[in-house]
Amino acid sequence: MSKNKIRVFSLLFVVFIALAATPQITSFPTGVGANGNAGCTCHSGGAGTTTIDVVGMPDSFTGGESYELQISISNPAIPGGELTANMGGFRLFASAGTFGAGENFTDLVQELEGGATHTELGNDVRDWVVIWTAPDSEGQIVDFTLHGNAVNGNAVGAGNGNTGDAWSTFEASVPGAAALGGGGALIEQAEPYEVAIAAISFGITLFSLMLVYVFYRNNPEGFNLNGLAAWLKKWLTTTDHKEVGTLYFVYSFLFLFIGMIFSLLFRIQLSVADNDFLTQDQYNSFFTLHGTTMIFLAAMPMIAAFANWIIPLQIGAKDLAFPRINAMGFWVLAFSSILLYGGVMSGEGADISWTMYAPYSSSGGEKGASAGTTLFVAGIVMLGMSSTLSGVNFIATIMAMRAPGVTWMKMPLFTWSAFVANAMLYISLPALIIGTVYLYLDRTIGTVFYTAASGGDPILWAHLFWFFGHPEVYVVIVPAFGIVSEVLATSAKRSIFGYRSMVYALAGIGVLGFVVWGHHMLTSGMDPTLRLIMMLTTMLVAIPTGVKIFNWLATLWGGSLVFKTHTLWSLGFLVTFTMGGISGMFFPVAGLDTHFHDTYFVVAHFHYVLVGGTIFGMFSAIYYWYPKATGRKLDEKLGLLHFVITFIGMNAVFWPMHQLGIEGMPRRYHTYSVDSWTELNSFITLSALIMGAAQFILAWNLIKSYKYGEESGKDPWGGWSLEWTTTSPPPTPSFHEIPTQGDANIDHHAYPESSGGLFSKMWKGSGSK
Amino acid sequence: MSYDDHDDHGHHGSWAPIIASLGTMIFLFGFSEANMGITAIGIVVLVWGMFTWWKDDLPFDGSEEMGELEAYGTPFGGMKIRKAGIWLFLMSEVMIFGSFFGAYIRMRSGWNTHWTLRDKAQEAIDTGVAGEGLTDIDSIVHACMTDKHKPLVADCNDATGGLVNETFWITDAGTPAYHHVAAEYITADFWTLLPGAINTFALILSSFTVVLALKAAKNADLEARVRDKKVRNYLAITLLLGTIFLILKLWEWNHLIHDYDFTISTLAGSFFYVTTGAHGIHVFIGLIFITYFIYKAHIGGWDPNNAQSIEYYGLYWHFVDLAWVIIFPAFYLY
Ligand code: HEM
Ligand SMILES: [Cu+2]
Repeated sequence: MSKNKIRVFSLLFVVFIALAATPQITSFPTGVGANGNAGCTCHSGGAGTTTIDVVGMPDSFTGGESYELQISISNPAIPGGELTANMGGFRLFASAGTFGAGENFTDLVQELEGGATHTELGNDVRDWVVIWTAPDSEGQIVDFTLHGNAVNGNAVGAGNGNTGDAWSTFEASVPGAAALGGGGALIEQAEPYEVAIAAISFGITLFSLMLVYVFYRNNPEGFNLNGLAAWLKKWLTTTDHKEVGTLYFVYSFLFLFIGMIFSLLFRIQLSVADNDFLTQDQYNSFFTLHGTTMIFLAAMPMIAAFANWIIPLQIGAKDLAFPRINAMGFWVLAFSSILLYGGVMSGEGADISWTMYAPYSSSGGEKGASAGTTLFVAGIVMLGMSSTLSGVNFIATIMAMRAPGVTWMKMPLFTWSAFVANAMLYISLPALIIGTVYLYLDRTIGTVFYTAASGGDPILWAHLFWFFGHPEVYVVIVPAFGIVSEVLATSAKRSIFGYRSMVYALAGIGVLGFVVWGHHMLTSGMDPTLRLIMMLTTMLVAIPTGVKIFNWLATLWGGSLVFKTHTLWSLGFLVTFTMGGISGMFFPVAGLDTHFHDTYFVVAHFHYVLVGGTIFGMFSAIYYWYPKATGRKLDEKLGLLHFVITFIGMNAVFWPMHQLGIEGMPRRYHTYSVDSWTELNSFITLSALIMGAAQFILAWNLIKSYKYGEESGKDPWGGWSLEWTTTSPPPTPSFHEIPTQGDANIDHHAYPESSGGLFSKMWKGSGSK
Repeated sequence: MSYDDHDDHGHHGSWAPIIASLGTMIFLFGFSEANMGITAIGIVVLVWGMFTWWKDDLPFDGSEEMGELEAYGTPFGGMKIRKAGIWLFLMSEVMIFGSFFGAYIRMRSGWNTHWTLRDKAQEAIDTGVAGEGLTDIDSIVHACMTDKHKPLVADCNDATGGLVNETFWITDAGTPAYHHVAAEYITADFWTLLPGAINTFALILSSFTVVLALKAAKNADLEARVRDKKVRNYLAITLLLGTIFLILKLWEWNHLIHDYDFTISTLAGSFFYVTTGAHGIHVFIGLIFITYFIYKAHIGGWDPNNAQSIEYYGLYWHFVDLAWVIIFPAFYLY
């Protein structure tokens, strides 16, 4: 037991240190040793005995003005060698502005990306003069970091005489005139970051307390550290598919809220014209983290949560094929977030958007991406690893572990959709992994894959990214298709209409999804022939999608619908997803896309499909399967309230964006100067705040119903597939006996056996094999 | 299709996933920060996670209770599930190397240099400065480059009336805009080609020794002690061949960098080192696993019941081999 305790707490300790260390991060924009040649790489001890003097550092700067900084270092203990020997060095970084050598110092000082350093010759002295030219925008604070190294001169000749030297660090922050003026403006500058970080830390703390409380409530008398350690150990080491699924769920739920905080912050920024609540840099990194968080840390883990929980239950398997790999997939994902967020905690969050377009993302310094980007890209590589591991696992499970009766053509549609989604995911992911590895290496060891100035090829990034990126958007919508199919069929008390055509449509989407990526690059100057091809293939996608929508409608038509909360979400899905699909059909027309591309119209489109599609589908699944996982139903009244506010809120937030987009409001800009856009934008922001607040209803419902919800029994909704044949919550392993699945049509008596013919086969419910 | 109930106790957690993931995170963190201390800590934690994984794995006896389930239903019916998993994983590896190749071919086909060149050619035609008899873009481009996309600097200057002079072929960063590929240096003489050729044979041979190891481990007729020894020795030969491969590879890189100044600062260099490096990392990971396998053979852990692990490993190893057989001509010869 005590070994557990040591392990658990030392692991948690390491994670805690990692979290605490993140604010210290200033990732090297140009990477490992790339500038090491003549610049100062300080050597020997970082002793404070070296004194650094800087004369001429202004109290506040005026935009575009040049300042002369006189740097001198001294260390009585290290007198240095002769004037021709190495005596000292420095390296100065600033978060903005440009550098040059002072008059008479051109031989001794050189510019370096984002700063200045001594030259080979400048190594021989201890005083230098540097000219710093302030950036044009005065609304910011510039941070200076200066390393000074007192060198004793034993480096003369061959060998590294890097011993016996000492260096120390000097730091200063200089606000711009505008950042200073108007009293208190300085505080306002820092505020959004602080709000974000405070909200996140507060959330995580609250969350940890909640976990401890849950544990305490389990057994108030037996509450002690050993027990807590054992309980934590169970969660940290679990390989059971249901528990890993719960981990995924809790994780995704946490990040759903964190992503929401970011979006609300930049919605406030956009609510009125010429707003300066957020600086450009903050805005850029907030929308980057919002998009990445929502897709990779909220939507996908939530899908993985349901896939974990439900797939083995639906196909009648005792667990997933590779339980340890499954747990590994989760933990790699969990730790990746520390890298993704590493930058933002230090105020240098990645600002490259979720599409991470090169060459901006691959370059550092004044004109390139911010310093936190390197860590961010490393985090994306980890995400890729995680999804590959879990993807292989799900596919192996579905292919190899279906119980008797669960043939391919009788497999429940959620399992089918998870199969298609994971197949797409793990086949397209390598392109992203390789693309981000190239990007990472460009940023660290100095490869030139995307650096046009050295013969590299930035468009290569777009191809690699979108070859993954388009399948990815289907990866997040297809499982929602499956969920809606299950929910609507169960709620209509019949089998799904046109099961076979549903399966073919899923598979068709899966295949087509790989040949349409160019529709994201229609304006990148690709070959017109390729553009035409991508245009046509993209339009083709609408056909299988349409088939699915009509099948859902037909399922409702023939059934007797019961209105539960999960039914409402699925019906809501039908409405909003269809609208998103329709706005999607405007883009593949290259001519129209030239106008719409990178406007709010695109933002409206993908939020209709992602929020109105994926998130609605996931919420439907939460209400539908919560009883299976906990044995209790969620509160239907709260559920209704949650649905109504979210549904109306969602449309109020995203519908006006269509109009803004058509009027030409660009996306990814931190502000706008067109006053007539203010009205719609402030309406959007207000709606977003309301919709955001409504999500706490769901959170409360989840917590409350866990203890006080109505008991559900095995099969509260009259579902047909195998997950409803086991107890709620299911045992571990999930089945004592491997069950046998029946036929949906027969179980529901919905359809008499029909005679052959392709057409009637397509129209039948779950076909018999 | 029922399972013994006592199997239900077989459900244990494992520390390996969380430790290995934490190690990966710390490693990437350190590397991004150019902090070799943290990077090293990351590697240590990662190795710790791996040992934990192996410790769980050592008693594996190939039985169903230990998780070696058989697949049912189409398409894998009758196959062990772990084997199916390896095949699926290899599919994603195929896509990994496919991406490397796709990107590489994009460069080799001159896709992006061609754009600017074609623009200039069009301009030359429009302004009437194009060389004699050159009236379409393609013939100008043809006059500018060999089939292998090496520039014909002087000819091109003439063909475009000076629009594409020698500075066109140099980028802002001072490196060539066209691509000197590794093959130009490697095929230059016998001694530079030799290590690559030896490596190819070494890898192919090592694929064979893995099969021999598997055959020995599956041979129920052998006495256990003899079998263990045989397995260990064949695996050790595989390890040796793989090590030779990596050493020669590093030697060859060193040679290319120092004697030919062929570095990652050009696009072709980036592709060459990253692709062959990624392959090398696959070899390296294979070697780590094989070291564990040798240890297991040494303590007599292999018998005909659990030898399929060697088979699964062999699938991976063959794949790495196969990838090399494609990389070698694409990067070293052509
Ligand atoms: C009916 C089928 C769909 C069509 C024809 C379609 C078409 C498009 C096109 C052409 C674009 C690029 C617009 C531009 O940047 O100019 C786009 C963007 C986008 N779509 Fe769709 N789409 C469809 C469905 C979906 C679905 C189901 C999802 C996800 C659940 C989705 C998510 C996105 C996202 C996230 C973007 C923005 C990517 C970015 O950041 O640039 N789309 N869509
Ligand atoms: Cu797309």
